[in-house]
Amino acid sequence: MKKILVFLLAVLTLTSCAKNEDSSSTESLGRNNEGVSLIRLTMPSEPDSLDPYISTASDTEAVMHNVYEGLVLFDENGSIIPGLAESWEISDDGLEYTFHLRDDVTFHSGEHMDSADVAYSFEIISGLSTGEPISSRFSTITAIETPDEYTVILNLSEPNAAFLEGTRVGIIPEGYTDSATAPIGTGPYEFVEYTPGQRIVLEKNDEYYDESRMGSIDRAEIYIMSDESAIVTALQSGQLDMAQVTGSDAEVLNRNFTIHSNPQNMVCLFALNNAIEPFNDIRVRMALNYAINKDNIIYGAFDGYATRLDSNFSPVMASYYNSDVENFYPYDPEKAIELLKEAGYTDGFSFTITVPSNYQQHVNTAQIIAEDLKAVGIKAGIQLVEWGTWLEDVYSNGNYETTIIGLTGKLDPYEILVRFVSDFRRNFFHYNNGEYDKLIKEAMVETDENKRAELYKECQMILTEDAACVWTCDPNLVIAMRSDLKGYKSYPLAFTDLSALYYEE
Amino acid sequence: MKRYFSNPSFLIGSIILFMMLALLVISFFHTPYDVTAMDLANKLAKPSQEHFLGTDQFGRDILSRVMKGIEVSLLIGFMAVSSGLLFGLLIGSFSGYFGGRLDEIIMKIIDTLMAFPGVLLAMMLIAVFGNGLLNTIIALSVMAVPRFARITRSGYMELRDSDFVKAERIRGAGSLRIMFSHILPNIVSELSATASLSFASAIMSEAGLSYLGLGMQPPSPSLGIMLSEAQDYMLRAPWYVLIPTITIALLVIAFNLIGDGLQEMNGGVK
Repeated sequence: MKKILVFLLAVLTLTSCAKNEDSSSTESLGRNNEGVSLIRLTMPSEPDSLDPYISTASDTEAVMHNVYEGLVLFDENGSIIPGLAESWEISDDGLEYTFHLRDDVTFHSGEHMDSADVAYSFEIISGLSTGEPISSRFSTITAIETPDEYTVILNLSEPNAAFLEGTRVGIIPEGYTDSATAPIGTGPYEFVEYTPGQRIVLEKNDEYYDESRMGSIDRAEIYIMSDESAIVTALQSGQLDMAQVTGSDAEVLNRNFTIHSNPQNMVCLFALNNAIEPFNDIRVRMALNYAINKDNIIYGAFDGYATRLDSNFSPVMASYYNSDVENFYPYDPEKAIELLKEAGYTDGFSFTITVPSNYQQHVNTAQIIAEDLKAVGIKAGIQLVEWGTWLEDVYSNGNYETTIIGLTGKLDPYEILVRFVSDFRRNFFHYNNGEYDKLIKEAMVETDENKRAELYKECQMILTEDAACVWTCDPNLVIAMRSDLKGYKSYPLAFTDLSALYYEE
Repeated sequence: MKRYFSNPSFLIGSIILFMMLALLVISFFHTPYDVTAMDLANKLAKPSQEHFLGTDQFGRDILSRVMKGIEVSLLIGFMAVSSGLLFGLLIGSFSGYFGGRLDEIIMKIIDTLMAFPGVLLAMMLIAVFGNGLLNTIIALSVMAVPRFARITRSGYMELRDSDFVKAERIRGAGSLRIMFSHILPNIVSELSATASLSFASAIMSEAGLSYLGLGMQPPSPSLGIMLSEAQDYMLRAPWYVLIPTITIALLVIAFNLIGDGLQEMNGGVK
């Protein structure tokens, strides 16, 4: 026994030494040996690419958005604010976007930013110079004009109210081709180094044009770590200043760390295949909504770190969120039994919940749902599948009975709600409502922002009234930070805003 | 029998196994709580009088779940080892007794099977045929067959030309009779040691597969599932992780000790 203990101690010492090599400072004010203020944080996965036009991973974007900036930026409510463009006009037919650029922006390389850089960037983004747009949302760009040094006009082939939000994609210097290895942007932090499998290092951009968004901490080291227990250990031993943690770990860390818990614009749901029996009967779907206790899911599977949802929309997108859907189906097993009886399922029925095995929280949710449904006479079996199998069978082919999944957030309501349009390729719910399709199409070309919001609110109500799925919650993004680190801002999109953070002296 | 229990490995292994079997028998008739009944107000409760080993993340009683978990482990282990033994014995005895071209072909197949790590083989089978109780048992028995086939074959090859077999043959005994009433009893002790060791590895593999989500499916109480669920609560509820871990370890140690003991008494090299 003693030998084992000694061995364990030795292993622990060795591993902690290995980590210390990179970040030798654990001093109280987050300064390294040269007196430079430092923040050490984590990202859960390896960056897919540092090139903003190749990368699609949200983990990568959360970090690189500190380096790259677009014509527009977004604030904490997900609203669009001026970025590299200080203002813009949209023509009445929605086909011509005119951006007026700032004249005081320099790239990290020292070059001055003007319309030529933006034109060069958008030629790549739209595929006009490469033949292939970086995403289908940019395929409608037909021409890019630069009437003067600080004006850019983008011409579209068809109106798309969600287009403006897309122009937050990063701008790079004209003619620059090394973004994948040495990213150059205009953001408040500049890229220093990337060691694959280990970390990304960023440093404050002292030449940043906007005082209010200027960074305070000199250097940021972002470690690629996904193991939850390793992250907690690193936080507790002072090797990390800030990290994303699970709700369960937050319950332990909250004694010594500041915990920030905010909805992250994700939609977790118990998805039903609306095309098959018995889920093609609205009474059955409503019964399921009444039979499931969402508070139990939030407490049992997310330790309370989640926000209840009743439609396919997170309240974090405040300007588009319809609060009328809240508690539309309160927990009421009696009513569920009644509805099932009405639908002709007096003895209940049985079905399978297909759950991706790599998400323990979804597996836990499934178990709570199965237990709740048992109480109203429905037998739900759980089938764990690998992520790849889930993507193929459920997401791509829509071949399943029910599943549990989290839909990642988008900044534009169209991209969130389009998942339920009947002819959308990934409508794996097989939801089909002509009125819903019509409203979404209307909203797509509606340029009046208020009318557009109204349409999206109506769409959320339709989904809830139809009980298309059982929406459960938006799991909060839980961040643990050392207690002297302040200024944390949360966004409805993956973005770790380094410039907002500062140490309290 | 006394000879067996004077061997310390065998004795300790048997005692542990006996305790586990006692829990198993009790679990048939009674568990303190329903294994799937949730009580969220009581989640992750420390061991106490109401919940002897505490509760899990849904407030389910861990003791009840471990009792049923042992049942699952032993059931799967038993089914996998016995069918592995049966097929291994048949394949190995024919292959070893008759030799020749048949033996060559069979042994090439067995070698191919053995070239894959056992769990990988089981994972492949489950990926193709889907998960669940029956498929887990089938996968684990396929995993066990090669080991039994090899041991049986070598036993038969050694004995098929020995004097007592020749004598039987001259007396006119048929091949099947020689194989199963004369040669088989001579390798039973070796097979039983292997069976015990295979039992240990079957329990481990089942826990491993369930841990990966490939074996038993939640909410059924497999020790592997408990372990994978518990790891998220390592800091808050360390006992929750420890209990299934210790149970798996005890089961595996018990069968390994018994297997070792049997081998020692057979004059094995161990």
